Amino acid sequence: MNSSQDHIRNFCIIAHIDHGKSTLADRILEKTGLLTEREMQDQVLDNMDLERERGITIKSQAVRTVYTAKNGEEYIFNLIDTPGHVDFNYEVSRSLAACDGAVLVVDSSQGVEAQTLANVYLAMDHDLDVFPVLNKIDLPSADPERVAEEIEDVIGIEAMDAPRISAKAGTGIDEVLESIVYKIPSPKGSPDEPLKCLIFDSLYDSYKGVIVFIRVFDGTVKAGDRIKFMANGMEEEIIETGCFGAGRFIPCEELSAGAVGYITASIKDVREARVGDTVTSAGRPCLEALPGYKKVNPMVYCGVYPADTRDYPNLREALEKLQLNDASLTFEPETSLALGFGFRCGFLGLLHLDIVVERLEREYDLDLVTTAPGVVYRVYKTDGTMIELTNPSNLPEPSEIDYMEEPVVSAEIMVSSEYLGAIIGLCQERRGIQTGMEYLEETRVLLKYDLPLNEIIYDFFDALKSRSRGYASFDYEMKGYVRSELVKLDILINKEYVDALSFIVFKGSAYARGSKMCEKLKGEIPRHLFEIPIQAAVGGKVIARETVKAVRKDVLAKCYGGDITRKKKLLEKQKEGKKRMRQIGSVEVPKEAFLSVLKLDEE
Amino acid sequence: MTPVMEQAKKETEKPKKSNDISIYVHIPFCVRKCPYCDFNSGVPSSEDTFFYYTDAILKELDLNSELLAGRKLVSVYIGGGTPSVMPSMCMGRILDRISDIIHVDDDTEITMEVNPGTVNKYKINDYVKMGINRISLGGQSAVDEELRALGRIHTAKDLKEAFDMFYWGGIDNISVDIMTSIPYQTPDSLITTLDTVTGLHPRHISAYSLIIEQGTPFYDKYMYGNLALPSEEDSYYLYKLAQQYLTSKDYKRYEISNYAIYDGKGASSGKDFRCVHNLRYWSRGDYLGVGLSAASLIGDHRFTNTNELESYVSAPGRFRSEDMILQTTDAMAEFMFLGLRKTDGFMISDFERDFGMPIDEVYGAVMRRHIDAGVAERVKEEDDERFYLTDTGLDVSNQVMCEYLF
Repeated sequence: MNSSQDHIRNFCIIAHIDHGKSTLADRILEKTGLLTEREMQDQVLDNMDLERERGITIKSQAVRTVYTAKNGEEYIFNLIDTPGHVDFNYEVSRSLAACDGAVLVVDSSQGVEAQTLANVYLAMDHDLDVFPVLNKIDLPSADPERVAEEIEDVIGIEAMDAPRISAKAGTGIDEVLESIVYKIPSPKGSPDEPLKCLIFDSLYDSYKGVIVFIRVFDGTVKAGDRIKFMANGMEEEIIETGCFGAGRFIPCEELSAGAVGYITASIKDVREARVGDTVTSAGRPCLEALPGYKKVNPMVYCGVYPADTRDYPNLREALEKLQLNDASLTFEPETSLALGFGFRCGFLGLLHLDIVVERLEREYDLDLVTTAPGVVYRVYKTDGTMIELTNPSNLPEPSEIDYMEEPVVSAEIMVSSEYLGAIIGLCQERRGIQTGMEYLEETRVLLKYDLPLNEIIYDFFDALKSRSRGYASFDYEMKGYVRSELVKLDILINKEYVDALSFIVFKGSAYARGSKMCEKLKGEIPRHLFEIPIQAAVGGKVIARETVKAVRKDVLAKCYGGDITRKKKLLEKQKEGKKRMRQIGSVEVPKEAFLSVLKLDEE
Repeated sequence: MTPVMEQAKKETEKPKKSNDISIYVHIPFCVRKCPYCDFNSGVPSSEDTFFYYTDAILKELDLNSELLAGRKLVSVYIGGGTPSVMPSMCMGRILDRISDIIHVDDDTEITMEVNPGTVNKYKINDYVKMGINRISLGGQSAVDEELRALGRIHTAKDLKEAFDMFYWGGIDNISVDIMTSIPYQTPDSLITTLDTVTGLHPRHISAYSLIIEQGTPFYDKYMYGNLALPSEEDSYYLYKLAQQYLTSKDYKRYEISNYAIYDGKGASSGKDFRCVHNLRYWSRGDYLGVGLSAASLIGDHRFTNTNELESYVSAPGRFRSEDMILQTTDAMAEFMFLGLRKTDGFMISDFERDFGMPIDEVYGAVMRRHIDAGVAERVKEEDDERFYLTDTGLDVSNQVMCEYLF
């Protein structure tokens, strides 16, 4: 096998969500003969259960296959998978840095979507060569010619000769494979230069320790070499080098310039091998580190608490383990009067939050209570200092606040003109400011808006989908902070302030949100032996109120024939129900109630 | 488990040892199964079934002759199903066998449940002769439309006739069951039922709310929205209406759903038509249950017969769906949630008598919380104290009682 650089192709596949990226990846693996068809599980690359269930890719993964081209020569393909969702931009960026080119998959009925653009721009930022593939040509609504034109118009890359394929049906895959060989450049770099590798991911394995995923740019690395992590200066001895099989690690003798693979050393803590760092030789270090990645800051925060307070240490351990593989997750301990000890966690977005919480519950068997997610506000105090507020409970007294700022994103929404009115309406409701509107075609419009992040983190995406019947796509990036009229909305249950239910809201929406919140909570809190007032207050002034009526009757039917056991079982069930609740004063509140704020816009 | 509970577990000897015992006989047969009923009962396949089932009951009684002999039999309760569908000869054999094994005296309460649609003068005559001295009539309602909706086989007229027949046949102690929250019931129709029933002057009335149980035809109907039940608010109102109506007459409420003519707390001299048998369940007295799926409690031994008719008949008393020695914590919880069903609750000292430790060490905090919430009261009475649920507490008794479980 020829493994010299010009027979290596390091690439990734980028696409808008649902345009068929994972299916194409599967077909490539299948066609390159690494796996037989029978061994194929659907979507080999997505090997976390969660990914397969949701049909999305969360963590970037890499796989190496061998392709025998039509010219008779063998090529090594290193396919690095990237997440498609906007929340995971950071991870996309990590994957791209390890590649030399990208295959752009576009649905030939839907055409260019917001994330198609976002991902292409990201790839171009990394100097990758991008070539398009038109997928789903088997759909009745497919119009590859129109979409090819659109790609040339909107993105400005050659698309007329793009392979027309159906990844699902397996047609046109050969053409894609040949295009990879001819259109994606081989890696540059010299095996004789000092070692220079980029860490693009890492994984903790209980046998091997930390497995560091690297792309070698210069030099050669093999077992026994002493290496150095440039960020912290740590030195380690390599134990193993290898490449990626499908779902497993295949050791190999060495990795040299252009290769994608992994190294292991006796590293116990993933934080030592920080993603984005440069690995070099301890004895012969390179002069300067690779640019790495810009550090992303979490955009959405929420409190995560164990439902059973005794699980606190387990939650900490689980978060620590998750963080090893997910550098974008942050957490720090916090205490809530209502929920006890927990953590304030930072996420890239709401989907990221959802996935982390679900992984904690599923993989670590934890029962969790999460509080309403919020963004990071800047609070300028009268004493001239500024604090970044991630937990609404920490908001200073109104008298100490000079003014506040909230994060704003610039969003691009692509929508069919039919639904333009509805989407403009939605953006206005969410306090959006239009910054541009462009007809890409007669029926397709690109809308640009500046939107407060806190207006889009909950359910904006869902609202967008429902108001456009699915014909709108959305992408955003942080723009900065703007001054805004913000207030803290407090919730009182049975006259007791519940810190975990407070949230920051735009002053003009406080009344509407407060009433809705009380209404939702009324539906979540079970009836007690006494009447429970639920109040929403701003600055100590009650602005909305609902009442959970007292239970008036709850008796068991006939207790017949002395069958006490049956009766006891019914009472036990009732008691069990109470156990799953959180005690706030004398009120038992189910954990779902803490997420009520998320559902404010549901009908 | 709290240290208090650890200690409680170690307490093995139980000071309570009364010589009293009760017997429950289960007759799992009906003319037709009511669509709301989830008791273990059914329509027998043939007349023969009654006879071999009776033989099985006799066998089971014989097996327990040692346990029963020499004890004081305070009550017998023949429940179902519909015991009155059995030929009276079968019932006679069962009662005869009981009196062969254990002494039955004049004040032993012997109750039989009767469906008003299944009796005639001759049967009643037989019942009186065999010693039955209390009748529980399943009236449920005195409005025919409601009775039809409940799938009952009798009419309001049948109820009145059956009552009169028993009364003139010589049974003075008659109880009538009525139900609230049944389909089509309105406050007016409930008053009709209450007027009719109290007009008969029964000594005892049980007033239950209909509860839709899973696995019954009513449950399915209810789930599909085809059952016209009173709303939750109306249901509460009907339940309260029955309560107020009955207590405004001569009846005293002595348990969540039971009302009787009686002269007051523990009156031994005056009239007292409370059901002795049911009071024993609530005071955790010993009782032996015979027949299909019948439950027993002897000391701390709780056992329940199988609910498979064939297994039961093949070896009566051998197959059990439950057989356990209650842990002290279980027994304590039962003491509480059964005792609190009674409007008089229980005496604080009884707890210590039964479990050898002060109640406050075990339940002090919960009891205080319930008193503060207004659902329970604790009052001095002579040298002792009484603990009981208030009217509000009784209305929501499930919510309160479940907190006494461990």
